[in-house]
Amino acid sequence: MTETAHRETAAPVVRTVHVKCAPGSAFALFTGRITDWWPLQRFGLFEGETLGVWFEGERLVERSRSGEEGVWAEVLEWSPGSKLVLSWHPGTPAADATVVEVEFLADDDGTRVVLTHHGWEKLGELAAEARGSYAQGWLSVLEGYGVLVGREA
Amino acid sequence: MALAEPTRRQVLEGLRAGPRSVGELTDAVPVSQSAVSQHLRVLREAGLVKERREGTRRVYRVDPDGLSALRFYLDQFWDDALEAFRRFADEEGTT
Repeated sequence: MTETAHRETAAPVVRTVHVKCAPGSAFALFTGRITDWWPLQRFGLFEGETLGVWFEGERLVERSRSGEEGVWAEVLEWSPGSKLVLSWHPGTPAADATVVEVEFLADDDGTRVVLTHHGWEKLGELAAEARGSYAQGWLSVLEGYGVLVGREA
Repeated sequence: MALAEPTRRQVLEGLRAGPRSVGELTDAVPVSQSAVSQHLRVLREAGLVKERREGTRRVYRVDPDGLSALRFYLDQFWDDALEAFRRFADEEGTT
């Protein structure tokens, strides 16, 4: 792969959704009610054993019925109604964190929520270092990081 | 998403040890050869798997350029999560 192609492939993942409420409400629902909207059965650490996931101080924590806890993220910026920045490492050590930014932008009929995931390509590189094989490495990252990803309900 | 389907994950798992033909993969998962071929097609389109001809047979392997696969995966992941948020917020939220 050329350097240019590599940079493009590794550019931040940016996804957008529009909600009808104002940015203040959108931010409050996004952060305060995450247990109620996040697809925990599919994208969670504890499957059917999960109690939920909450912001507790500077951390975002999922808890299970049997008392286990899994830290998904630390808060890097908390700007109600405008921006949330997280050091994101669900299912992996904090050292493997990447950065997830969520912006809440007012528009004519509500809020545009723009999520930007920076540095995610590091997941593949970390795995490659650990396993010595890139192809094997990213698969294991999808599995490890991916305790949150792609699990069927 | 490309990996969410359990059989598809098994097909991909079957390629972890090394390149395999459709027939070899079919032995490893409890579905028909045409179903395995379907899953391989989806995985190939998602950039997760590469195909190569060896004589008369096609051999499949995990694409060593995992970045495109990771990107694809994360796109789907965040789309799913944000869509869940949209549904919830539009029901609960007030302006």
